[in-house]
Amino acid sequence: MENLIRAATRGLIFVGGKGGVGKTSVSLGLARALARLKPEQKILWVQIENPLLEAGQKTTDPKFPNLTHLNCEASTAFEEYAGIKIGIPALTRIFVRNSFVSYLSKASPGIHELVLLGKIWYEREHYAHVIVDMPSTGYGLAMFQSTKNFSQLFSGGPFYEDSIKMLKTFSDPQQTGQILVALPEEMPLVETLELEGFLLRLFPGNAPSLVLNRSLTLTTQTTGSPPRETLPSGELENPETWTTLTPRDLLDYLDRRIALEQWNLQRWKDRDYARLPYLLSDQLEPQLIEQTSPWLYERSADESRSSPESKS
Amino acid sequence: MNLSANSIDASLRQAKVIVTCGTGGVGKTTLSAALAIRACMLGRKVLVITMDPAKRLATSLGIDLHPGQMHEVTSALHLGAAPGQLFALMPDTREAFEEFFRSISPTPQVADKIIQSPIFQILARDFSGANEYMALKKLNQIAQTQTYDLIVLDTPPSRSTLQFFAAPQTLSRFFEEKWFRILVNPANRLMASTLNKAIGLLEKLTGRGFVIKLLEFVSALFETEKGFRQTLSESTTLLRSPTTEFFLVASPSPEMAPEIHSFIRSIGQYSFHFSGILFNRALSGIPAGDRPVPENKKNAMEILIELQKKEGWVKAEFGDKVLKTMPELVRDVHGLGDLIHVAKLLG
Repeated sequence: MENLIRAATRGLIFVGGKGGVGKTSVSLGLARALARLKPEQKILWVQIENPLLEAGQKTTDPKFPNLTHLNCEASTAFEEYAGIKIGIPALTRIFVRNSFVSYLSKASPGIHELVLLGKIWYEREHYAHVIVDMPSTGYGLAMFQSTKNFSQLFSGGPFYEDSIKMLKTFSDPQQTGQILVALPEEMPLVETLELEGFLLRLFPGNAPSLVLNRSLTLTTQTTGSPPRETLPSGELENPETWTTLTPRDLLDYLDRRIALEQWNLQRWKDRDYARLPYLLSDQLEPQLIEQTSPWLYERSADESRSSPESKS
Repeated sequence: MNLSANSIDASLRQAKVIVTCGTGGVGKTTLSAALAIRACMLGRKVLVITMDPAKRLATSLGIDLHPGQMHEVTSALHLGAAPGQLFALMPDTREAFEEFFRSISPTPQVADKIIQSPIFQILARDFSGANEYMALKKLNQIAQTQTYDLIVLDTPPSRSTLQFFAAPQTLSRFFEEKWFRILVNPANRLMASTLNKAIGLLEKLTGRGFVIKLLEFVSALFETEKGFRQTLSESTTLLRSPTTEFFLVASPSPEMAPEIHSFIRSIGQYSFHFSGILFNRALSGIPAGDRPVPENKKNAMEILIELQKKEGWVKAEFGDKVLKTMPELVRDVHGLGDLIHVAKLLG
């Protein structure tokens, strides 16, 4: 738990993991929880190129006036970034509208990703916390790998200097936290550990924090505060011995999934991780996660002790 | 093996290529392998290709897949008499990249120039974002040999499924750009003042060394134009062929609906052939049962019932575009035994 609390208190928080594990819900839940816990501070929640929203758009939910939502998009970010670095608007226009440069920024593998991360990196100067809903595993990794790649390719100038500074920020546990979300299923648990290894190789010394999402075991526990113990004692039933893969009814499905969850979690038995209960995954989910989020911070800085809402 | 006929089987019997698309975490690789196994049961010689750097196919098949090596899985399936054949391949991205540039370069010297460029070295790394290009190239190369009746391509994880489709167009645009011709011919460069200004700025931003490397790489690429364009047009032709079918693997949840709609629209825009949606891991087939629910499980049961209800809406929304709704199972699918079970459920 300590690990996660530290990650969630940093200025820049990347929430990554496999597709479909609830990264959006968890990252939005964290962003809202932080916005509630620190009403005097500005919080930014970033999504990467959500095709359903306007490119580069920033919006604010009236219910969370200190929380801004950014739909980070490469073309708009590139223009903005080049503008900052070139400084002269007329020159910037020549540069970004040039078909060669525009091709490079759009089609060249890596530059696109570099620009997206660069934009996020810049934004962190204007907010107390920036929480990023990362793309799923492979592409999420590509974003960090690109930064490293270009720091090696560029030979000087502001893009080079910034890529080096970006790597420094991402490697620094004081500034950046990586939160990896997984489900209590075999592949997500295994892949999350692989992703963790990859991130550790890229950013040694800044270990990611693990979050287990949609724990049915947790949903079936009636007490308000989540248990700290990991597994029940005694022999676990090995699901691989089950002869039928089809559940008899919903209750059978639930029981088996709980048993399976405990079996699968043996893969994480030496790990320190936080757990979130299985909740409905529609718009309600971010709100429900938000209610459960304060316990993520219960042992963090003093200000978060006065969590406005808790489940109990 | 008795398999009931349906539209999935029609595809598995007729198609030469099946491309499975979908966002991560919906069981795309598992279903790709199960589709390949089912085609094998129907007597076809099948190859399943995955570009997944997370090596999910190897785990699904329960075998050790070595990157770049063709593996025959047929005998391990124990299907009995007269099945087809099943092969699996997880290409080695780096090797595939080198092979690609060697195949399109007019001379070995040009290929060396490209491969030794630091820019190439970086593009060929895992997670460099170039996976979708390589998947297409590999698919095309193997399809041309006509060794297999059917190739199932599990698309690589990328920014979006659409990114994958756009790959040939994005690349071929490269050769169509005016700047490209200007760049590789210094005499033209003297005339192109805005391009020179842009390059000057790029040098300031990224360092002179990088721009020199970039221009060298671009010039070397220019020499491969003929081969490159041919490969790209072959890729496009293959993807647009009526014997290439696209399957979308998705979870039947309302959050997926906008993405499914946008996927179907783009398939049409690219003139590809969309076969339909495979909804995976659906809870809706599980009977409610009449056993009393213990107090502590009521909350979880309510969630499951709510999810079932929502699945119903999503399935109704896509109607006849749904090829099949695959039921949620009690545990993770791994090993050939489980995959054969899933392959049978595809009927």
